[in-house]
Amino acid sequence: MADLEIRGLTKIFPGGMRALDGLDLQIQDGEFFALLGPSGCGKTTLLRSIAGLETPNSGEIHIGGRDVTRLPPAARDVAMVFQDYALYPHMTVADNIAYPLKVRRVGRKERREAAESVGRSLQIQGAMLDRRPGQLSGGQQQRVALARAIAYRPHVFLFDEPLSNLDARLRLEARTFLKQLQRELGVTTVYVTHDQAEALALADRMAVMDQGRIRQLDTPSNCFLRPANTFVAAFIGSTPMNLLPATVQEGTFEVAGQKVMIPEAIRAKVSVGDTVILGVRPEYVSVSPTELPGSLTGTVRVLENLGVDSLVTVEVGDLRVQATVPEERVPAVGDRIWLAPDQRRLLAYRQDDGEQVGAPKVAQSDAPALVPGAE
Amino acid sequence: MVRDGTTPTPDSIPGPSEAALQVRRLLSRIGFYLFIVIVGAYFALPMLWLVFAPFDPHPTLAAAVPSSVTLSNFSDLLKNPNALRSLVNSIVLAGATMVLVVAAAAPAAYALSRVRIPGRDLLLYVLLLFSSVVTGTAAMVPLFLLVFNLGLINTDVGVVLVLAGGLMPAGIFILKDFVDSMPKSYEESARVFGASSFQILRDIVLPYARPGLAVIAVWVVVNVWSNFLIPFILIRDPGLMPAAVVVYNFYTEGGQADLRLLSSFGLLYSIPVVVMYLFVNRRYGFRFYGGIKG
Repeated sequence: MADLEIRGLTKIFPGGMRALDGLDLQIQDGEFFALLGPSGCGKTTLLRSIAGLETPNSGEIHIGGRDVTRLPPAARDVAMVFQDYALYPHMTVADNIAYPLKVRRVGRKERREAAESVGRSLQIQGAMLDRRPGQLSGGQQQRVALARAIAYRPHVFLFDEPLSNLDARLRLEARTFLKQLQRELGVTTVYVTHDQAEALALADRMAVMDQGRIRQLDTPSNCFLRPANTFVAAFIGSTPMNLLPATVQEGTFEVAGQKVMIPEAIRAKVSVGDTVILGVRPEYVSVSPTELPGSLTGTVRVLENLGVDSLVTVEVGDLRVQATVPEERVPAVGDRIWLAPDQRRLLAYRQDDGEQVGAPKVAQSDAPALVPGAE
Repeated sequence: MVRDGTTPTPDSIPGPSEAALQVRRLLSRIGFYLFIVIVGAYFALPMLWLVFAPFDPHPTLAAAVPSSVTLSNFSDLLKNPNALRSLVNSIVLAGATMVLVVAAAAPAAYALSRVRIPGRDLLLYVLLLFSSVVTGTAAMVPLFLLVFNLGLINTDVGVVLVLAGGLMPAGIFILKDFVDSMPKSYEESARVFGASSFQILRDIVLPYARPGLAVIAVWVVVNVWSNFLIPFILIRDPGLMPAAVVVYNFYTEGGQADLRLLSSFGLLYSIPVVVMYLFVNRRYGFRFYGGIKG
């Protein structure tokens, strides 16, 4: 077991693409850590750098207190599960699982025993051990890839979107399974995904990345409830957060000519005349057919059924605001309704850099990990 | 077909009647099958000849079922001391060349597939282009001089080296394509598990490229088996000559072919290649990929 520390990691690909930009990160021993971001944000490059498959231009990587920056992958004691699983098609399942042991010149009999015991814990047993990967279903292949990583007994697990090749239903099962497995093994895990729901569900802590930098480093619930900036706010959440331009007036925000009360927590951080971007999740906007104090009003334009809830898109002036409403209170298209943002969940971001109001201004070149006002 | 603005409706087009269309369809079918039969016969007749003539006491150039079956052609053939020995020589040459080409082309293909060096593709194409020159008639004299100066005239080693050199580039080219088709993650996961380059080659790349290796091996054997020019130039001793050269002995001094010996030797000459093909196909299975990336 080991903790993981990354200092000032920079990777510039030939051609000038800056995949990692002076990145700092600390991951605790036994932690389930997710790297989340859109494609091209550098999350996979970071993972591959930890594995030793990419050589960073500068910066250091420490695993368990040991500087591994210049060590080959073999000397790092990390196991990686690839997006395509990378199971060897010419080997049986048992041989695949035990391949890390074969590399270490463990005898045939012990390899078979190891494959059987690791396989058993992942429901890979009996005749399945002697099949070839091509004869297995996607979910089974994924478990074999996990078993192979476990058989290596690494200090750190590295997962590169391991669930993205599974269909939606199986992905949920595999997700629960993976989290339970990680808890049982207690091995430090770095998990790369572009699926925000996966990161929220699995991680103890997560980093939201964009353009080679970490935009927020926090627990999933803080990333969801208090996104540090508009990038994270827009990226996380299955329904996108409402981001509404507003100007600060005495005690109120003016949004599309209407007024919203400034929450107590924000009041001291803004001054009259500021232009800000208000952020509130559709889940935290309550909807009423009658007028509410300090609410926005508008006309319902679109209704989308989300299952338990419905997503209502309301035209407020020239803005569109979304809110979720429970099934029994769904308005009709064309209705005039009132929207009241939850005062505890209303966030305000600076217009210029997209960070939360009151957050320290940072120079763009050496932006450190930004922790929002969670404390 | 480009039509002007007005599209005629189907009934307005005057066309051949239904019956005339059917006749035309029938005739084109007949023509097609006739063509197939002629092409098939063109290729099948020499095979038939090879099956019938060796057992015919008086074979001619026509493929005909022999009036009486005899093995005397074969017993006469065995009286020629070089006949059987030449088949053994052929097997030795083909086998040695095959081992050399496969053993050298596999690591070369792996390296060329994985290492990015400037001008790599140009290098491969140039090698490929020149390889046909190496075993061709154009380089006959320099090749002879080279092998002579190396003191390898009249040895199997000389023939194997020249043939291997000529076949290697195409072998590397084909194998590289097999290796290219392998996902990079296979190697990367092996590297993370601590495998060395040699272990990756042995455990992952070679088994993955096995159909490619089988293709190369068969292709080399067939090429060496049928190569006449190189052993003809480089080997003087009749006892060392491979079958492709020894066939030349079954002509009378007047240039007349001895069809009895020629046909029976031809049959023996073709059997090993057919057996090898069947064996390799059963053991490894030829998969027709490689060559061109989809």
